[in-house]
Amino acid sequence: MKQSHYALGQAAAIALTIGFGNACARPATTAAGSADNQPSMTLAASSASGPASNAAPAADARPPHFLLDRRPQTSQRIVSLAPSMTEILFALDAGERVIGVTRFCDYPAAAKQRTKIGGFLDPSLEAIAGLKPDLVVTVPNGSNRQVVERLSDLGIPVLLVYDYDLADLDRAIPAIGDAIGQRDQAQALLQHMHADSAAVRAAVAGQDRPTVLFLYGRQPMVAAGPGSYADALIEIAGGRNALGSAFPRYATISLENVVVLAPDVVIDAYTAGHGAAPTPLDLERLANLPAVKQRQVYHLTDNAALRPGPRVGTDARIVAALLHPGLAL
Amino acid sequence: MSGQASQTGVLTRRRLIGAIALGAAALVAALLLSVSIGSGPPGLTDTLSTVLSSNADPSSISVLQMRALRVLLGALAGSALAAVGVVLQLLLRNPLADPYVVGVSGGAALFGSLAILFLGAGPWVPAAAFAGAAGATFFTLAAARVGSQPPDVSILLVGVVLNSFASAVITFLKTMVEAHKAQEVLFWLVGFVGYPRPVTVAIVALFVLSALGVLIWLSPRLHLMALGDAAAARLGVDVERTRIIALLAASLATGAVVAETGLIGFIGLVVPHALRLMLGPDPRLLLPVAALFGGATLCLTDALTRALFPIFYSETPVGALCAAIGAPIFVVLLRRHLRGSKA
Repeated sequence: MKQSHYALGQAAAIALTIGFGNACARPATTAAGSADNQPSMTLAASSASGPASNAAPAADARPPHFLLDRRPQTSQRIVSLAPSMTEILFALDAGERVIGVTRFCDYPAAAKQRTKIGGFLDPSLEAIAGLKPDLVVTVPNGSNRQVVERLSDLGIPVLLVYDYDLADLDRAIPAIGDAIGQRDQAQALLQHMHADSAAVRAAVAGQDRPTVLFLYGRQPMVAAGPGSYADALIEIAGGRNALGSAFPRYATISLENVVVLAPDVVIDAYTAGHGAAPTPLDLERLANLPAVKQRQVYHLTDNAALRPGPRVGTDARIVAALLHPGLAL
Repeated sequence: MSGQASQTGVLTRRRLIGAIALGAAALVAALLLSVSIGSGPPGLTDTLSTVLSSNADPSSISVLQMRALRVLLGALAGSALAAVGVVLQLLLRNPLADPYVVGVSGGAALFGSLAILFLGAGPWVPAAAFAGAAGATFFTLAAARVGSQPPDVSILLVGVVLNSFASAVITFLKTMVEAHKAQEVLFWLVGFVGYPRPVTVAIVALFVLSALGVLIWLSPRLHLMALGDAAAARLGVDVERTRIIALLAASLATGAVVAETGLIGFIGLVVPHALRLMLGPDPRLLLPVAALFGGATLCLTDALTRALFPIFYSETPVGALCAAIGAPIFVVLLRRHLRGSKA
């Protein structure tokens, strides 16, 4: 084939892809051969900014809203696509009206009895539609986007709510309360949450502020950075996040980073909520860590602290008890 | 391979039409059965009544319409992957060739990943994935012309290297982004059919069916190329041109499928082999039949993922289910074939 044929072929390919792309509005799959993740971000690399999508858009940029502005006529058959949303709905006294939840929705206990419609990343369109909901509440993510769009195509109102941090919750709860006709309960819940957090803040005021490393995972080792829910809990509980402002919300770090950061306290939530026995951190190699020397390495078994929601006061109290052992809270 | 003598006899029109009719019947049955199976209503027992009754529940009808689009996309993807598998195994003279081996998967994955990470999810992502697939193919073809290796070996090598490179870049990118985004990427990794819009299915159908048309038109020439490049050339086949056109058609079909469904494995590798054991290697027969049975296989397996939803309240990724079920079946077929040829 001559050079000109190749050029022609490439031009044709470009034209085809433009046409193709306009018609196909689904986030593409991405693929790599390996499922292994061997990150070893040095501190220098981690302080550089990652790709644009790594930084969360500012809380102002993600207000709760209805998809296509379609508001619900009634809200007697609510399906929740996220555990945090399920908790909020139950906390707003609307638990009886929640008919569908994800398989991860385990709080409160009554939520476990609702019909399961799939997972957080993989809800089932047909299972949801089969329940004939009049309102769906979801935390948007790249994986459930297509299902959410199809639900909207079916005429079902969808409320999109973010739950990354406390600022999001401050807007999420009134928005949900508004959507389901529980405005007063929403205001009351927010006031209760703020009062609870304030009480914890007051109790730890004047105490030393230890640096805290909060771990979500092991391989890769993922830690809570600024802007995450655990970060907010640490701040309320009178601690300082060992990861400074240069780190992303969920930072992938290495054992080297942990040694350099030298946190006073390590909270390991790796097996939280799974019921499995916690795998001990590699304490042999970390023997010189202040947290290890002071015996302040804790394993969380309850996954509450991982889930932003109405229990923020309780969660902050749990963290405060770990940071300030013996303090009356 | 004396046991194959009866299979690889002269390809009669009767045999061709018989096999295609059987494949078409299998595909139609698979489509009808798949559209009746869901992870929610309407299910196996009430799909027919929903379709036929005049006052059927409108939401059930809407769900059926969406499911039908998913079934169609699955059939298109399966037929493209199986047919392309046949062509690549023949052209590259390698039984381990699958639709992704010429770099299509690496190119699509790399450009799709870059689009998601730097532009966010949106309609440009399938376009980017498709552009990556097309670009990777051109690159593979161009790079393989250099050097003295026979072209089938060159293309395979360049394709594999391209996939490795793309994989390395993607892995690097995954470590730089937030952990939950990386998990979303992993989730897409295994490939699934999803609920496409009608326009999407139409576009994929356009690419897949035209590519299949081109490949079927080329199948007599591909059949002769099995004798070797020199022998085929003596028999009047423009080997170079045929190879390039076939590879381009194969890559366009695969690129369109990958952009929408990700990397669904197994179908493109094993369905051609299974059918070849029963029908022989003649692509004039194998290609259309593989397309029909590949489509039937994928859409039935996809239906099975929906049927299994109540077990764990999640749909198993379709590629994983294909492999889990298909691998034992393939081993049985292979053993029967080997036993037959020893006789």
